[in-house]
Amino acid sequence: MEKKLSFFNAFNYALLFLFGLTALYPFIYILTISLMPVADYLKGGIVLFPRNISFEAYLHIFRNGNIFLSYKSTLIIAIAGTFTNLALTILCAYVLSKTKLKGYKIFMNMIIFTMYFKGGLIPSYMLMRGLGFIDSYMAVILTGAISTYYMLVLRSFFLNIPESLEEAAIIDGASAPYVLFKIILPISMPAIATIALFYAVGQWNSYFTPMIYLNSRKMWPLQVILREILFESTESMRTAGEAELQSSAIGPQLKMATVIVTIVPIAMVYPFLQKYFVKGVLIGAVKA
Amino acid sequence: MSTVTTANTKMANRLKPKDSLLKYIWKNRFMYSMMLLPLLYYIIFEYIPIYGISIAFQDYIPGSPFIGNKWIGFKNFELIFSSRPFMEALRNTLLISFYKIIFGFPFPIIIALLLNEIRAVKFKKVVQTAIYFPHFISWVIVGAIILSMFSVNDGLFNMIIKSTGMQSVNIMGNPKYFRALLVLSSMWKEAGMNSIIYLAAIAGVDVQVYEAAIIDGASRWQQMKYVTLPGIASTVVIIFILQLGSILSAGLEQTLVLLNPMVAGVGENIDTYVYKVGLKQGDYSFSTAVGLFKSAVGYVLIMGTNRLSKKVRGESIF
Repeated sequence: MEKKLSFFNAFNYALLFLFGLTALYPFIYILTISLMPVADYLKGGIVLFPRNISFEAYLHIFRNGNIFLSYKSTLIIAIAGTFTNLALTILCAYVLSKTKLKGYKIFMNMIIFTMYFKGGLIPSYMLMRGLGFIDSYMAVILTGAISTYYMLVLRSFFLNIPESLEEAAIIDGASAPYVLFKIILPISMPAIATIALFYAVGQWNSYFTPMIYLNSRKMWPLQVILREILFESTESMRTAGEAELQSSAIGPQLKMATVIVTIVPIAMVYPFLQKYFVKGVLIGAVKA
Repeated sequence: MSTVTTANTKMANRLKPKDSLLKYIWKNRFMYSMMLLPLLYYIIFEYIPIYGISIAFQDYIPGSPFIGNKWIGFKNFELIFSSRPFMEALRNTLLISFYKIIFGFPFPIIIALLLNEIRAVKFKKVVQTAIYFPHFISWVIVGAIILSMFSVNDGLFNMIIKSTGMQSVNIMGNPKYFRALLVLSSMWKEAGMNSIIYLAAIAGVDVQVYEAAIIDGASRWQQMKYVTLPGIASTVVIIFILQLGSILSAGLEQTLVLLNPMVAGVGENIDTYVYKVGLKQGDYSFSTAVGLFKSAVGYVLIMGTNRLSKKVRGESIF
């Protein structure tokens, strides 16, 4: 009995170690390729970990400078997008936490319906075009500006705040915005931070929306550029003078270095913020 | 005491409809004005596109607005169901979603059960940190990883295969492997994150039940079978039902990154098909009709599955 148990334990530890390795190793491999000197790469052969390190690919990327343009785009979208997401989500969630407000039911039904039934890609695209938002960050920022799901999660958090807290301020003659900004928001910071993180990661990672709405290359965020570098054939790249990515010897290292540069910000904050992410999933799960 | 009463009446005044409507709205003007922007968002960016669906019933001329086109009734829908590419996309969507459920659904449960048996807290934390991480990177990056692993020329997998003297395998460009690639890559990306909810459900099982089981001499295997699994059964059922509700979404961003002409026949799904026919080929009416088909069937599915899960746990999602 005891022996069987320890066999299972060993097996279990080994298996989970394997899962963890499977999740992380691809990133190490990509890092390895990106740091490999050209000569080593051309020699071929399997290299699993960085041995001879060369920052050639990274220097190339930064000297070329295009990456800064994409980085700027990504930052604009991530910052303006997350800010818009948060502002609208907080306002909506707060008002909808007042269940006695006249019109509450209408608002609620109207909003929940959009979770289940959507206009879809083409009508949304036509709307953005009609508004003149094609090739503008507006289209990217306003698409999905409120995630109804996160809004409802935040709303349920607001609902759990004891009413007595607001009452005290109302006696002092505080207005509704004052109550929201000075009383509700400060005590809701953990929930808001969690939702902000999810929004920010979503903005950082999105590529479909910027890809369909932004035509000019110089506005493309990292993910869209990366997709093109990795998967599209060379035609559009030749015109943009990036054919070297495809043809030159350093091509593979450049691709992988671009990948690394794109995930570094996420990888840096992730370990510290992981517990908030987990909490976010769980707050949502209570509701869903 | 008296201040509390004043506060209560003030709250009541603010929130209870007693006066005439205008007076009531004026009293709550801040509340309503805070709702203004969110409401505008929903009306403009959610409801106008829903109205825009009407072009599915029109002979839409590109460049014109939603209104003023010739109405053609259900002609587009007749076209859809006689269109071979659409039927192919529909079949692919259902098959891929089906595989994703069959293989992808149990995996997070297994991970959670295994993690639950780990007593070394540090080890557990490290493994969790590792397996949650892929959730936070984009499908483009996952595409890059797949490329670096499975590319025919210099992918790690093929280099290993070649070094053993075998022929390299084109995983990304072979219809035989492509669906498996979709299923496995979404498992790789999401299984860890999806295990969180089951871990929480396991943590919620009453410790006393385990204690009782141990006193009765239950082995760890028996504890898992007779205590843990029944304890998380309702969570499992609800997640399963919810996944059934989104069976028509086989993954837009994922497929768009990985799809190539060699595997289009087995990989194209409804979402990528709408994108291709609508935005790339400019056939707005037809692709909107396809989108409406998806939305309508999806709506029925989600409503049905919500009702089912309500029955399972006796309450609705919202």
